[in-house]
Amino acid sequence: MRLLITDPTSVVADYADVVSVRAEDASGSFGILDRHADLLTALTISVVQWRHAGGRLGYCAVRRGVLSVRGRNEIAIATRQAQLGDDLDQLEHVVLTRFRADLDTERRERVAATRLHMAAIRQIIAALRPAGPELTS
Amino acid sequence: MTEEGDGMLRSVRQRRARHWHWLREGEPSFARQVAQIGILGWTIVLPTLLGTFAGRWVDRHFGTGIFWTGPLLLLGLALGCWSAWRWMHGR
Repeated sequence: MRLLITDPTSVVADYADVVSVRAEDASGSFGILDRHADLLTALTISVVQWRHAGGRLGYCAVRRGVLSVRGRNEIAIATRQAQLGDDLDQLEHVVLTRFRADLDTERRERVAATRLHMAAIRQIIAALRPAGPELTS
Repeated sequence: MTEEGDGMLRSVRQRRARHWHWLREGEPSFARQVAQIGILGWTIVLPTLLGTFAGRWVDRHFGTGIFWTGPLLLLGLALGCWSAWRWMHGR
């Protein structure tokens, strides 16, 4: 089977030798084998797991998403955020790192936005100051 | 381990905990599955099955289709429910 995982900006995974896939939707965990009937479902925040032809396992944490099975042998997952991992320990590490990085970025952006805001206000006050005594309160 | 992270991290940890559990315990054994049905379940199921098998045997013997199987199945079920009821009130 072919497994295709995409997030809004990139193709996260595209494997042609996948034997089985496990995923989770609101009704719980389910598995998909080759020649499954067409299916469309909404995934929860969960871990998608699959098995390659050689028996190797692959993991991908997804932040919700849509899973579709088409043409009996093609599984496509479209998700907001996807993180690949070779095993669950590594996946946890990757997800944690990304989470911390995102948090850090958000904080820095907030600081930058506040700074910009303050600078703009300062500019406005400076520009208005000589205009008249009633504005220099 | 700190309590930070969001749902994604939680789901990864949950999956890993389940994986560990599976490695440690493996598939639940047959005896365990049987035990899970419980004494009350078996009290109802066993007479029903016995009734069905007895009915099948009688029907095959006399060649009467399912003339005996149906009633004996229901009889077994009734017996099972009745004894389950008694068991419950005996507690």
